[in-house]
Amino acid sequence: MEYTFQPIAVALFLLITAITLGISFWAAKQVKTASHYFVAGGGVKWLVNGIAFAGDYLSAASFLGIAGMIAFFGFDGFLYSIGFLAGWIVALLIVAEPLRRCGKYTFCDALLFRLEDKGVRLAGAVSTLIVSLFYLIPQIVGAGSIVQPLLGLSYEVGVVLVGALVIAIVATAGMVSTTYVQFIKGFLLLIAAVALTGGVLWVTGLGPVEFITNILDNPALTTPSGVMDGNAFLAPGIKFKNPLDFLSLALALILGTAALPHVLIRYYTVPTPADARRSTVIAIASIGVFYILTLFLGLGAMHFMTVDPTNQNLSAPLLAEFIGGEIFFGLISSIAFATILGTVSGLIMAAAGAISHDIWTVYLGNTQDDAQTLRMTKITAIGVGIAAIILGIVAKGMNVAFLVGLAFAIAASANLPALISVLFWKGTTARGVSLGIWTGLLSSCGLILIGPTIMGAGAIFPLANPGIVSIPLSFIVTFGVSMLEK
Amino acid sequence: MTEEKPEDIMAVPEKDKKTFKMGLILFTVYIIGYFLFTIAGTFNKNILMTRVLGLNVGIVGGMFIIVSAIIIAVYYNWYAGQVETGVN
Repeated sequence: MEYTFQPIAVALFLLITAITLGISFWAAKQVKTASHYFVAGGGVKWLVNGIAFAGDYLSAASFLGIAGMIAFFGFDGFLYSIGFLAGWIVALLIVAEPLRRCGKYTFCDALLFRLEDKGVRLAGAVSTLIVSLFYLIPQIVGAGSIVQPLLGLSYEVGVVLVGALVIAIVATAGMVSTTYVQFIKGFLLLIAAVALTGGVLWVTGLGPVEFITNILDNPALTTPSGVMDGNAFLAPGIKFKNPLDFLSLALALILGTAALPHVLIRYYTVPTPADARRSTVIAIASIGVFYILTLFLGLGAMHFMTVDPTNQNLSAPLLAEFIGGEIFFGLISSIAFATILGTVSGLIMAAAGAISHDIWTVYLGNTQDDAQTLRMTKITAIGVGIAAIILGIVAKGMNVAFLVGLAFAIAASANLPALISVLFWKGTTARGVSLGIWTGLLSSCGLILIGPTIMGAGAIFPLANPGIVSIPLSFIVTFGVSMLEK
Repeated sequence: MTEEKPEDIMAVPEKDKKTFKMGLILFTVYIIGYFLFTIAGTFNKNILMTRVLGLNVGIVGGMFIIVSAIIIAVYYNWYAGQVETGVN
C-alpha cells in the first residue's frame, strides 16, 4: 500500500512523543540510587502499578498484532487474546505474593533467595536476556510498521527512531520514568480501544452480539485470507492447520505470563506483597476489558477490509483512519507508538538489569558503588537497545503477536519451572534449577530454529510454537535432577 | 521497600497459607476450564462451532474465560483482604 504524509497525524504524533520524553526527563531527577533506577525505590502505589502493568503488558502484540491476526485469521487470532489474559491467573494466584517476598531487583534475585549459586544466576540472567530480546523484536517491528503510514518514513528509519527514543528514556530515569510512561499509555490504550470499538459498532449500526452474529451467518464472508463461511472463520483452523499448534500456543500463553522477566520485575516496585496482589487485580481487570475489545477491532478491520495485505500489524490504525479520518488515525497510531515506547523501556530495563546486576556485578564479582552500577546499567541499556534495532530490521514483515507467542514459549520453558520449584518446593537444588533453565532455553530456541518459522516448508519440527515439548521437558529436568540429588 | 529474610518465604504465616489455599482452588478450577476449551479447539473444533445465544461456543467460551479471570481476580483480592483483616 502507498502511504502519504498526513500533517495533523504527524503533529499529534510529535505531541504525544514529546509528552512521553518530558515525563522521562522529569522523572530522571528522582533517580538517586540503584534501587530507584531498577525498581523505582519500591514505592509505587498499587493502583498506578496495576495500570502500569497493563501498559507494560498491552504491547504492540496486543494492540497491533492481535487486531491484525483476528482480521486475517478470525478465531485463531482471538486465541491470543484469551491466552494472554489467562496467563495472569497464574501470575496472581501462584506467583505474585511469594515472589514479592523474596526478590530485590531481577528474576535471578528471586531464584537465588535460598539457592546461593553462581550457575543459577548465570542461567537466569541469560534466560532473562534471551526472553527480553525475543519480546523486544516484535515491539520494534510494530514501531517500524506504525511509522511507515504515519510519517511517510521507511520501516528501517522507524525502527531506528523508536530505538533512539527508548534508549533516551531508559538511560535517563530507568523504572521511575518507565512506570509513568506505562501508566499513561496503559490508560490511553484502553480509551483508544473503547473508542475504536464504539466506532465500529456505530458505523455498522449493530449491537456487539448482532455484529458477530452477522459475521457468523455469512456463508460467503470476504476476509483478507479469502472467501469462506463465517462460522468457519470464527472457529479454530484458519491459521493453525496442525491442531497441536493450537494446543502448544495455548500452553505457552497461559504459562508464559508469570515467567516474563519484565513483568516479574514490576512486583518489586510496590511496597508490600499485598500491594503486588492488588496491582495484579487492577492489571487483570484492565487487560481483560482490552482483550474483549480486540475481537471487535480485528473483526471491524476484516468487515471494512481496512487491512494492508503486506502488513497485518496495520489493521487497527487503518481501521481508525476509516472510522475517524486523519485525526483519529494520528491519535491511535501515536498511542500505539507510545505503547511500544513503554513496553520496550520495560524490556530493556529487565535485560540491562540481567547483564549489569546479575552477570557483571554478581557473577563476575565486579564490586562497585551505586554510581558505578547505574553507569554500567545505562551503558548496557544502550547496547541492548542497539541490538534490538538490528534484530527489528531483520524481522521486518512478521506478525508481532506471533513473535510474542514465541517469547512466551521461551519464558514458560526456561523460567517458570525454575520459579515454581524455588518458590514452592524445599527439595529444589541449584543444579536442578540451572539445568532446568538451560534445558528450557535451549530446547525452545532450538525447536524454533528447526521449526516452520525459520525453515518454512522444510521444517524438521512441525509446530510453530515449541511450548508443548519444551515446557514439560524443562519441568521434568528441574524436578528430576533435584530429586536425584537428594 | 519491605525486605524479608530468605527463610521467611518457606515459613509462610497461617493467614497466607489460607489465602494461598483459596488461590490454588480458584487456579485449579480456572485451569481445568481453560484446558477443556483448548482440548475442544484442538481435537474437536465442531464443538466450538456450535451456535449458542446467537454466537458460537468458541466466541462465548473465549469471552467467558476472559470475564471469569476478572471475576476470580476480584474475588481472590476480596478474600485475601478479609483474611488479612481477620474477618475470615
